[in-house]
Amino acid sequence: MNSQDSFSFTRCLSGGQLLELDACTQCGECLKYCPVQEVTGDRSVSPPEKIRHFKEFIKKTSGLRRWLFAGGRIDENLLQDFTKAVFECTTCGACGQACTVGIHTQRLWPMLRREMVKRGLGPVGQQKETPEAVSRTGNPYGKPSGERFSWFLASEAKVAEKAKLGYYAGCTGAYEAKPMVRGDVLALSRVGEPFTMLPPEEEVCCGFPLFITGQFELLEGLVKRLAGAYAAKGVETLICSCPCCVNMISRDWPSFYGRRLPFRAMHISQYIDRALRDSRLSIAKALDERLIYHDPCYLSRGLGITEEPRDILSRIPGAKLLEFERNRTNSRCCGSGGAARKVFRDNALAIFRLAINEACEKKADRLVLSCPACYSVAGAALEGYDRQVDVVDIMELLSEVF
Amino acid sequence: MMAEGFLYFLAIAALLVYASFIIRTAVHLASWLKGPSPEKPGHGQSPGGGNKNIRAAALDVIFLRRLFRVNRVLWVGEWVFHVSFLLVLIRHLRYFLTPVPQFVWQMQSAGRAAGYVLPFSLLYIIIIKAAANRGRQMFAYNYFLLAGFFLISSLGALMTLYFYPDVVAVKEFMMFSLDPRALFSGALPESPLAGMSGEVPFLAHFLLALTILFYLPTHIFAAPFTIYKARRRDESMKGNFYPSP
Ligand code: SF4
Ligand code: SF4
Repeated sequence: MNSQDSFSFTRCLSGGQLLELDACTQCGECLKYCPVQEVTGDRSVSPPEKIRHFKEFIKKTSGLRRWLFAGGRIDENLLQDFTKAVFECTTCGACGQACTVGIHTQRLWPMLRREMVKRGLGPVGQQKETPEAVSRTGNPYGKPSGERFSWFLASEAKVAEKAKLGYYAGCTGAYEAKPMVRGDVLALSRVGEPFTMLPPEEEVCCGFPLFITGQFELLEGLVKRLAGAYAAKGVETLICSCPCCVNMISRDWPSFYGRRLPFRAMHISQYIDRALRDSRLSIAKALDERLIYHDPCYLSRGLGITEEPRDILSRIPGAKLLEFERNRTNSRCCGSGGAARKVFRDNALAIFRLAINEACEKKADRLVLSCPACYSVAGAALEGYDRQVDVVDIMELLSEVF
Repeated sequence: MMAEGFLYFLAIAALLVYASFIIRTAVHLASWLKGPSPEKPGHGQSPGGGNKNIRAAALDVIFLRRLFRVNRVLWVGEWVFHVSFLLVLIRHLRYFLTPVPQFVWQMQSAGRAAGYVLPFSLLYIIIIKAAANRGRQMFAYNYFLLAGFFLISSLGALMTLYFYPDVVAVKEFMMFSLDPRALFSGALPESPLAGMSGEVPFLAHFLLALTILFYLPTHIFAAPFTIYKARRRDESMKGNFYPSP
């Protein structure tokens, strides 16, 4: 692999995505929604810049110009700057939501990343270690499977051997946002419908951190292993705490699995909201608090799930639900998406601190989250910051009021 | 007075620009028709189409509803620009078609009025963008197009108001430039542009239009499709994307 290899830059893109590149009017309307731009002021991350550069690369490697003028070398610095920009993006999709021509950027950026990986230019920083960590330990953090969730499961939940309902904790939840996973399991137990889980050593990465950083090589194996294991347990509905996992399972697993999945994926907030509506679950205690809910990008823009978490929170007696200025499908990223949290840590902290600031200004008692990546960056952003707000996961909060 | 050689040069330049436009459009069209990527992953869910989505997407395109959602101040200018530009384009069809279709004749007064509105709408857009961006986020290509259209439309309005070029000569020249056989036979149009009133503004207008056509953005054709795709995506996520069993 080499950055100047003669393959066209279009090889990872579908016809629809080439159409999207051509559709960009360079109007710049999406810029004001980009969280990375907001905290860095760096124009190179902006969608029109990324699209403009990538179109230039295509022209040089496969356009009319190459055909007529025998192509040309692409400036190595430009390639490197572009790679940094496309990996610094959190893939939050806010630009696509605001895009005046409807470009699906949350889907486009990962494919541009894939191309840079194929050319040996990406991924960046610690992202390079993800495949090795996943191969060795089953999770992108390189942590032992023993630490995954056995610490609370045995004492607090009854997990069935086989059931139609499955729960997938996900790596970020299991290692970096443990109270979330505990909250999920407590809520599921409270509903009473039997649910099953894979043992910690079998519950490996869903593949999202590899997919989003353009490293596809392990994906087929992971997907087949997980999908086969859940199928063997008779799972028909797989509940996840992480919106990225739900996206990955629903959108991409079928292609790596080679056929339709034998189950469907759901976010925990959907399942619990349904249980509350059907009176299979009830809230016993009141909570005299002002809560502000942050929409995770892959839940709101990725899956269109914005009302279920709000419905859950609005059912808590005494709780007052506040809104961020930017909410629902227009929400601002927490800063940790797209596997950028560890590599571009300063950006992630600065972006999440914008949410902390607004929550403080609105006098929220607690900032409610529903994604383990948001949860993980929240802790880091609060550390040493002069403004403080309590952060809680939605299921963690719910487990306080049963 | 315009030399005969220059007239030929102009016609040949026009022909080359038209040809490059057609080739460029065809190449892009072929790339859009490329199937899914040979890479493994799906490229997003494939929600159903349906007449409802087509209708909604058509309204999204006609009323630039996606822009309306994010920037209403700019939307006013952009919508007026797009509508007046369309009317002006229809008015211009009389120079390219023989016989001129009835609807083109019927649209002449609307097109004339739109011709006066067009430069103002562009000026408004440029001011709004420059004010909003305060020099920070200038996208050169976008400004180049806006400035180009502004100059072309201003010259167009001036020709309608003050310079009155000979429309018969203009039409003959346009038909000549569209007909390679006539061009290469060496026969000049019967009423060449030479010496006609408004010769200079017309030439500037025409050359600028050729330049813009050469750099014409692909989004003109691509955007309606991406807007339709976005509408399908939005509709597919309404309510519960992954419903409970
Ligand atoms: S996906 Fe998010 S971070 Fe990336 S360019 Fe768009 S708005 Fe910026
Ligand atoms: S809003 Fe869409 S069309 Fe406009 S610059 Fe951004 S990506 Fe391009």
